[in-house]
Amino acid sequence: MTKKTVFRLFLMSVMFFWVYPVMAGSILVDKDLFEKIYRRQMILEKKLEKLENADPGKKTSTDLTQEEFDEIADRLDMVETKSILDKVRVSGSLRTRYDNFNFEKIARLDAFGVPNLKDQYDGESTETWSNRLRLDLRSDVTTNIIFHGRLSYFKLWGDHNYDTDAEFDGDVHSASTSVSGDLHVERAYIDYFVPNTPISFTFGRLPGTGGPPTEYKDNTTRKSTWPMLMTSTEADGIIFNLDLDQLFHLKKGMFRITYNKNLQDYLKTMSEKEDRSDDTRSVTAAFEMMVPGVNNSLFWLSYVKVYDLRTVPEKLLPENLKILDKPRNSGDFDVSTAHLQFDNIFNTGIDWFGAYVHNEIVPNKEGTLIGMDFTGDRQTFTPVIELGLFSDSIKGNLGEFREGDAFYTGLRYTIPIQAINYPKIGVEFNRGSKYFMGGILISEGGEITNKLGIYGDAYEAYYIQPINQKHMYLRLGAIYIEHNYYNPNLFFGTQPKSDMTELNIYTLVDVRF
Amino acid sequence: MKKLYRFIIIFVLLGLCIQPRLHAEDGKDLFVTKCGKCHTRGDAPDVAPVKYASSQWKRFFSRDKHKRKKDISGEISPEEITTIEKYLTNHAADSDLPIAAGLR
Repeated sequence: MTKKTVFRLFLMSVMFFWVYPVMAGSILVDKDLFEKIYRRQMILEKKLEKLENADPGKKTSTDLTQEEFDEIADRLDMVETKSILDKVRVSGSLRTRYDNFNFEKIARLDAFGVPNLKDQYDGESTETWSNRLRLDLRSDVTTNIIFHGRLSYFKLWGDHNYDTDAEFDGDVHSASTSVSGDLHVERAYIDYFVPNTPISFTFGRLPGTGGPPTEYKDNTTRKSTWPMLMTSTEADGIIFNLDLDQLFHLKKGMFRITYNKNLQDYLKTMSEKEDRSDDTRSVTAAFEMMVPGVNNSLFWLSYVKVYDLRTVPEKLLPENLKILDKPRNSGDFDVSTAHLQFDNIFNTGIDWFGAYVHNEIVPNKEGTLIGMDFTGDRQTFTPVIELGLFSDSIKGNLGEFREGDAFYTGLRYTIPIQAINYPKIGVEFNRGSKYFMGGILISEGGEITNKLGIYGDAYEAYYIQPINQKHMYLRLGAIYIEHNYYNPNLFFGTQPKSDMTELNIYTLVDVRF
Repeated sequence: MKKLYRFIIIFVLLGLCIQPRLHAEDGKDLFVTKCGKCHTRGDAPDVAPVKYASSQWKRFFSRDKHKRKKDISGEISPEEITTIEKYLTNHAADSDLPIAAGLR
């Protein structure tokens, strides 16, 4: 038998055993199956009929040729490649600001740089314009590694910057502004989330400027870690984050421990010079959570200990003064902070915040020895005063323990008028005591004085008019400051009394992109 | 220091005693409990609001794209879906996201 014959016999036997029962009216025919097949056949026939009656000129997706499919696939490949390579997302904001400053009872400085309350004058700075640019970067390197960056620029029109002591404490003091008006790195940090744990680490140049409640005035969401009254500085360090929401289901709960190096003299142990400085270090423990049952609320407690704060910077001294001798540091201080804020209370459109800071200062008993040039030759300097933290040798209070505190509160109300994009009005008040020493607060650009760093009272009222709900707004505001003591944010020497007042009326336009 | 401790106690009491909900849920809870059932257990890919831009989320819901993978109408009510959609679009990749150390 040939193979063909064998195959035929096999086929016939299969047919016989399969067809015979059917032919014989077998009970093996399943009625449901039959109906299912019948229904399927009807559907297919209808589809066939539809296709036959279809307009031959009309092109459907099934008419795409293989070539066209390939072309689309190629295009998608290009888009996919581009999206994979687009690692960094860029957003940002540009602010143009107009300021008008009026100062009353400014005391002239005597030869030692001490204000003379008997010799006062008024001053003003009208029509001051400035620009501020922020470029925010984000790259989701992996799902667990996220890079954040911010490049900033602040500049007065036709000038560089305000002549503030922005470089007073190294780069810690230059919050959000560069002294030269150049673009600089305000933030550059990595968030690393340890997989399958509530732990993450943040390291680099940390997000420490413009924290809560700045977002109220800036018509945005929270943009920094620390509350504003605690600190608003650019600082490098490492943060250990423990996500309490993940661990204990404590809503938006987070515990952080931070280590910062605020001043680093890398040559201190390599140089033979004896006048090197100790490094300034700070350690922070911070706890935050959402108030139970209250969405968009923030409850914050923290404690910062700063070790070995630097001594008086020579650049702050007038030309006729010179540092003759100095200790390696000026002492330690700590900052305890409590902050609470609620958004949209009882759906009334009212937002409220309150913050309190208390600090204790333990100054070095040895101060920086300042010499004065009495001859005018800039060669011979006679020792005249020793300056320490809030103390000096003339008053005989060097090394005295100090306590200071500050309070900051405010309200914002969203006016429920949709036609004009829900404008907002807000008021704020803050008070700083004589020895208040927050986490170093200096102007972020715009204001000459950071109102939160003062020893006195500050009032602010503002109106926000969104021009575009999401991207553009206008703010009009006024800040009035009553100084009780001079030298806000300058912690060296005895604080001289002051009755200076300051009025800053401003307008700004912010565009976010 | 006494003053500080007193102040902290007041803050803590204020924070912990205010129990009434001052305004409605923002949808995160729903998203975590309902969507997280599959999307965090490996049954479906992980998903977060920042996965898409707000316009993409809107399109996803208006075209009921979830139905292609799985019909969830029996598990999540239309009202809940609306709340979840609002949460996702409000926290989408192109939204004004909050920033702080350790926040995703």
